[in-house]
Amino acid sequence: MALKVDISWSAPKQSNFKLEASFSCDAKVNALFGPSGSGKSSLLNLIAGLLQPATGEIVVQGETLYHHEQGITLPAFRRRIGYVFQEARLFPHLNVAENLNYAAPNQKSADFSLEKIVSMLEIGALLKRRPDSLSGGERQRVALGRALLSEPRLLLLDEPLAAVEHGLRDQIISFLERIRNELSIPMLYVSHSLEELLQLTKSFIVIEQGKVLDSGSYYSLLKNERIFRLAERLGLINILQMQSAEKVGNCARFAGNEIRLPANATAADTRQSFSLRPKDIIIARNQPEGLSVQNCLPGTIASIVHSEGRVLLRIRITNGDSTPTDNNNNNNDIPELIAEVTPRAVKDLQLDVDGEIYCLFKATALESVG
Amino acid sequence: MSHFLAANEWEAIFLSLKVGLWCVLISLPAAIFFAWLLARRTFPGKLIVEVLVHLPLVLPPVVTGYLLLRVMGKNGFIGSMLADLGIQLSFSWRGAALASAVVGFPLMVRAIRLSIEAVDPKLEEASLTLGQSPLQTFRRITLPLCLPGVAAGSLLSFARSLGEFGATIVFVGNISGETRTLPLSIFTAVQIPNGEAAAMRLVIASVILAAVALAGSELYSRRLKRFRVLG
Repeated sequence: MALKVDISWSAPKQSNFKLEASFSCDAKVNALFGPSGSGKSSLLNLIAGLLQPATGEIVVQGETLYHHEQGITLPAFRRRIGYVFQEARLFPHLNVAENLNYAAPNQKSADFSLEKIVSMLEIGALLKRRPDSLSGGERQRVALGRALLSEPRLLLLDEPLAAVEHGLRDQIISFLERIRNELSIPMLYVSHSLEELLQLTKSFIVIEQGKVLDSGSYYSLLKNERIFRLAERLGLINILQMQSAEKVGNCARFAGNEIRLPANATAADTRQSFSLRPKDIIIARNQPEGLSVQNCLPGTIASIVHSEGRVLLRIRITNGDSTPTDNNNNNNDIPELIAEVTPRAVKDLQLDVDGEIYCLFKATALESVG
Repeated sequence: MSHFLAANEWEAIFLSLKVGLWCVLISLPAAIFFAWLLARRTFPGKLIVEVLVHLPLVLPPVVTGYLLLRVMGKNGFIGSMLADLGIQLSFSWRGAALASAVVGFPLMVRAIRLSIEAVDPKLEEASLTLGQSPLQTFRRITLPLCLPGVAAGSLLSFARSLGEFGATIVFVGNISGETRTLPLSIFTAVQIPNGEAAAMRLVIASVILAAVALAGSELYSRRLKRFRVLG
């Protein structure tokens, strides 16, 4: 288990805010998702040791960092937990190279050599520069490198894209993907943006008003109505991760089905992720013919959630490949989509759980997200 | 230049500079500690510490000198212990340095405290998460970033030491060549008949020295602004 947390904590100055968190996670990237003020950053500070819990325990990679009953409280500087803050927090009196070398543990493993991290994050050209001469994206890359070079056993990321220019966010995400794929270091990634989180992981921990509601895979968590409503409030979105690189025209594959991409999609896009808004999906009972809509995915309705005059459907996409997948045991890997319909449509189409339907959406509704 | 001032006048100037230098050296470690304590910590009795640190600023220097004499003098509580070790403070230039250090202490603490408060504690947190102990963090982050304040405070204390009169004359007396610093020399010159010319020469020297020290302090204060925390 990479991380096991079971703690409670009260904010010293707002006596009414109480944080209660109990979860464990083991994925490479774990999303900590919740609205602003839900206690996400406090939770990270508690794990990092910058705040002290009132009770409970924190275990990282098998080592107990905090245990109330046993009287264990490892100080922050002994926890070996890397922390990338919202603002990069680079040391202003040191240049980039000095910032990167700041932690400099004595024996570096090959995974965390300066050369490897510098080339991975493409910051070689910045080494002599001062932090105040860097752009937001460059600063955050250096902060990432600095945290990695301390050889942490867990990396905490607190909305690392918040201070990054919009155009550069996808770039940072791709660096994070690189870290995920090339280094064996678990990450706990805080954000209130589903789009951002879903590009990196499907493994979620959901927090609201200081309480961890649940943890698990994104689509399975949406069965929980409270989480579903929360996700809906913060911008429910589908992320389609395309499977294969074989590009035929403007096509890619998703769940064994062929997907037509927007006309401006480049060759590289066929392997990338695309976002699709729930209201851009049309539901049909039968496979339609003679429509201009390019994409049609078969699926079954997993659940129906009514919310403020509209209805959201969780749809399990039927794999278009001949090899059948075991729907019951392999729940986390079945691609799902969220579609938004009107209550009237539910009635007229007689939509019901386990009903077979078709999801239609235009190629132009897909937006490349890196 | 040596014709401008008499030998004993040069002696007074060098003594003043020596006392000022030692005043800064002995008060700096304590001033950094109290500045950090007041800037970064909350603890019961903080107000009392704050009052005690600032007391020499408002106390008549004569009172400070008298208290020093009672505590650090030959028969004083600490003074007698130091005397057993062969260290005599009263009626020596070392005592003059101590008197200056006490009187200038609040100024030094204040300048350093302000500069520590200007260092974003978030940077110190970042340093902790990078495996650096609180002491290492202070040495590698807080201290370098508040260095302009440390320099400004030191120069301020030095400048204050050049003007120290009341506490010095009560604690260490007015001994030519030992404790007769610039202000005491001026006082002595004014006391004797036809001493106005000598007094005026020493006054000019005082003004020049004080102005240079203050200008230096001001320049360092301005450099503080260059260290702003970046997002």
